[in-house]
Amino acid sequence: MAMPVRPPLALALPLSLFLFALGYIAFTLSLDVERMIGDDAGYDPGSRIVPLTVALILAVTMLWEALKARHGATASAEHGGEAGVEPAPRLLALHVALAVAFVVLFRPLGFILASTLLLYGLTLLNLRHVTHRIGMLGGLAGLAGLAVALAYATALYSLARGTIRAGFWLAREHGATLAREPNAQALCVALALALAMLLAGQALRRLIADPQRRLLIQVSVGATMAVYVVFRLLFLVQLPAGLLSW
Amino acid sequence: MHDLAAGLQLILSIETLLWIAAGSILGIVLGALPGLSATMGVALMLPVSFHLPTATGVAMLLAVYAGAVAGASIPAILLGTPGNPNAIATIADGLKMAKQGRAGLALGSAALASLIGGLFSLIVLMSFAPLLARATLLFGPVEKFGLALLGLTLIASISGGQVVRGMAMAAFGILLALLGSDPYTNAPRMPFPEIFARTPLHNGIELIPALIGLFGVSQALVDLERLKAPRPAVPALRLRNLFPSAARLKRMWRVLLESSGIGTLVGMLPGAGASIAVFLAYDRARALTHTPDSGLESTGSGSVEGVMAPESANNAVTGGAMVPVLTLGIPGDAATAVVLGALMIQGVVPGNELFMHNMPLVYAIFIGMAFALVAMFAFQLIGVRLFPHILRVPLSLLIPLVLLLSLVGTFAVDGQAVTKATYNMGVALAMGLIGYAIKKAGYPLVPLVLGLILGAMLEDNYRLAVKLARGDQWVFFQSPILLGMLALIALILFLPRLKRAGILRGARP
Repeated sequence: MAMPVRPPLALALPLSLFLFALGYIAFTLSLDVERMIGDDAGYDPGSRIVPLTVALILAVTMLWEALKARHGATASAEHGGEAGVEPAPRLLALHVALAVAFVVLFRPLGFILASTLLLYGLTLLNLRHVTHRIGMLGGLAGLAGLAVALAYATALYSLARGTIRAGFWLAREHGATLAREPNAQALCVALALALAMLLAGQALRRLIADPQRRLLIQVSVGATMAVYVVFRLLFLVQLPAGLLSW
Repeated sequence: MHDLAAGLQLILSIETLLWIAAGSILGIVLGALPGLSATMGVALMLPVSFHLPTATGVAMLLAVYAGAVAGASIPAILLGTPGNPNAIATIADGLKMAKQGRAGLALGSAALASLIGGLFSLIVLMSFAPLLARATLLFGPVEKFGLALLGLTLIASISGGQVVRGMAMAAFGILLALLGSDPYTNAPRMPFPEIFARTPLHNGIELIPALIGLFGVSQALVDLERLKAPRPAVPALRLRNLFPSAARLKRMWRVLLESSGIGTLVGMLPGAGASIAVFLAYDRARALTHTPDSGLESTGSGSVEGVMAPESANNAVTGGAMVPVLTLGIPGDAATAVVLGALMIQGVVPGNELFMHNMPLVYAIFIGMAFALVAMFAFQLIGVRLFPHILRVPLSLLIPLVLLLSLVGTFAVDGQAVTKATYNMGVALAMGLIGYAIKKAGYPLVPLVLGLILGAMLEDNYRLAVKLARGDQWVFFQSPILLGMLALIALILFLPRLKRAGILRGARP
């Protein structure tokens, strides 16, 4: 659907890419021309020609687009015009900030805590944006909910580790070799976690009256544990343990 | 025969079938949820495929792809909002059928049409791909360079009619792909070497984090604006008569055949995509059903024909789009660009080499795709009662999950090299922001992806061709194949302009 794009982005993107292209040209020119090994006759056109040509194409096309945007041309935006669709710059900035924090804290905090933190924070922001009912992120209730979610995730992670250890123990002490197979362990952990989450759901009902807050905690912890089971236990990816080193 | 047996051995395992089933369910759910695209689903599952055997991983990705394309019809029929543009032509008749209390028949017909279209295109893929792959034996560096250029031009020119923007995005993608090191001497080609030399980024931008960022992270950020979008009420489903009668299907043979043919052909054209195919198929169905004595119900009135024509076309695109991927290494659309990325990362080189030396894998992909289509059909029918519930899942819960899966998935690809994996998460996030800005400014994203994929091929083959020709740049004008490609490129670039200017009609408008 065609609709006018806000001028800053319609102009800012081609200008940024134009500057990027200029920078790329300068960078390419600063490099030595490399030729293929063994090309003593110098037939290889060298390492500069393709990047330079392509950067020139980008520079020219983006200058053209920037000039068009400057003269008030319109462009199509993918998601414009739909009812209820509205820009949310603050929400976007907070999402990006939390995602950056996740990348930075992923190793020191560990997968479980960082993921729970990310999911809880983002979902809280979204729910607050939609309903305006849940308090501020920094509010006491929000922080208390986060503390509950982190403690809950830690407990479930401990249960998962305990289940895995029990599997190895069974294999070692009783010869149940199947119990040390990754797929069998993943299945056992998934079942144990599902059961624990069902029981915890009942406990959360008594602890937290607001169903949206309960959903927030269950979703952020449940999704974290599901990703843990798939990537860590099924695919054996070395997700960082961080603070939860047991 | 031996290759077929080996292919069957690759694909016929409980593990593979389970992954195909999981991919199919995930695809249908993603396709059904407005705002989440087939490409995003395939990109999110890319890290998972990386941990599976090649045939299993590709079959799983194809299951996600086919499932998402078919699943988009669910909200189109029940809500009048397509899950993604692939089902946009299904709305006209699908929604009317739902309002007439025939939602079950519309959903069942859509599932059946998707299966028919998908299987038709698979048969074309199986028959046509080996021939085309054999033709690529004639391709040297000159022709391969031309092929990369043709693919980029096609994608750029079909990107919503924005040729200049498409070209710019393709150029941007190529420039990003060229960062890292010189392909022939390994000399560094990265700005600020004193900073990047100490990081894993000195090797350039890796494809998987870039793809996940461009399709997963950016889509999640774009969808933030739709959080408050109103959610229409889902009509009650009547689940009797899910399919049209056999007699009616028999009368519809031409609609189904032509729609599937259109979808397959459009799928083969790089960049065209299902959103074009569905309108072409719908138009053709309209012509057929409005013919007197056709015995068919006219499209536009809430007819099964109006649902089955676009649905068979959009799923036929999936098989068609795999033809250029497997034979030429050029994706037909964004989702197959990600599938191509998955193949390349697993070390599979598309083209004649694949068909000559790895035929069991080719057969495994074909068979896996057939399983994926059957799984898609089965789960669409099994899940018919669940669809109204799926459509109620709020974006406020889905967006955080997509972001988490994008970042953790990126990490998982290089999980054993923790520092590199952490940097890759940063790359995915940065590419997500770039993708977001590109989408919001109304620029096409697919040429950028194709530039990222084909950038290295373009440079490698250009330099090799010139070197083999002893520095003679005219070599590019001596190959009849390349000349044909260049003529096609010129036609693609200038035909629309000539038409607009009225030159081809002999008079200015």
